[in-house]
Amino acid sequence: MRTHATGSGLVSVVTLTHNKLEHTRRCLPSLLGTAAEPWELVVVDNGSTDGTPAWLAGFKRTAEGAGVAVKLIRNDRNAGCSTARNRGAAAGAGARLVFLDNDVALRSRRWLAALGATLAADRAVAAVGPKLVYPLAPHAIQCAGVGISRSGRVLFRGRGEPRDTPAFNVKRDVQCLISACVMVRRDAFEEAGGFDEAFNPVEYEDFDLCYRIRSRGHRIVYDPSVEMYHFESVTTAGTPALPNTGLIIRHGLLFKQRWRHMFANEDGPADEETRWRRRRTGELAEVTELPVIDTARHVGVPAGE
Amino acid sequence: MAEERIEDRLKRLIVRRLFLKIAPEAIGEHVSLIDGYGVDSVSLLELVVGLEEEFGMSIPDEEFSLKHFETVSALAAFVRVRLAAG
Repeated sequence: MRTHATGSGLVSVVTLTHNKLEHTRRCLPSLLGTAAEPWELVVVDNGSTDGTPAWLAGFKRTAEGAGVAVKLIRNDRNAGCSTARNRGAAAGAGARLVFLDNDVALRSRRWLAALGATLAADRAVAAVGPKLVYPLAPHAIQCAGVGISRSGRVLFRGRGEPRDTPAFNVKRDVQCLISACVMVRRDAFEEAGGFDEAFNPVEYEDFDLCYRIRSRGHRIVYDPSVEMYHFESVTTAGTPALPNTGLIIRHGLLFKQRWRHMFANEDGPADEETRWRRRRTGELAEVTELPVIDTARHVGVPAGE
Repeated sequence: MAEERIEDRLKRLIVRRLFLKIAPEAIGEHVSLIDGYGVDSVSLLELVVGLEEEFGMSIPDEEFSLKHFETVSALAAFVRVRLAAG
């Protein structure tokens, strides 16, 4: 990957779009409510055909009027999440990168400052992710970091639990984070080789990246002091009944094969805990407001500390 | 002793892999695994892993189709074809 000089305080927020304009225009403008922090937005459009490019051009003018630089990159076709995110990261100038899906909206106004502070507090921490909550009130937890069982099954920690469940109000190391919203130190991201294009177009590329980062001795942390809204599973298209099934199987098998030597020896969740439960997550039209919070959420500490 | 039917082995595999709270024999062979037993994309991955372990078979990308996983009956037919193909 290309390594380049970067602004020390600048954060590059890299977002992908591939159609789903109704979510993009609900979520991206919310980011303009971010509390003062030097940041830029890099949007990579993966061949959208629903008017997204034209909307992004208009949003760029709005954002830049609000003091946020926007870089737009257009791929003629869907280049895949890994390729597009790597391209967006290379186009950004920040020493810190945030990968943010177009179905994530602002909840904690100080999100960039708080996630950045967690990275700055310990050089061993290479990536940090917030508490993701459902947009539909009462905003239950969508993902509080990811656990991987000893057989390679995936657990979205806290999924469906009340937002203030004490167990998920603790800042702690996690095995993985989802790429819906994650801040990564650029040097660690580049050292790991970025997202692996073997996982294009999508599925498991984020877990693979987390393992490559951790396999180099870095830590990955879940920080519940920051909350962001996440509309679940709208970033990528799939069949209505079983979205992305073929990709989940192919990439899931690759992930298990590649990282078994690590997760088989970690204290991940039990297999039975990982059972995916169907949830009614709320349609976009049902979400009438997305309240923003200004103060940092209370964060507990792990027992024994 | 008669060899266990593939359908019965599949039922046990499904209950075990998906942590279903039912007896294997309660699974209907012609009932939709998606609608009847909550099979989703992630649990299909675990079924594929289970097929590899239980039957020593692998499924090439070009052979994968959701239609093979619609019911126990369909899956059993698929397993027989794959086993015969070696």
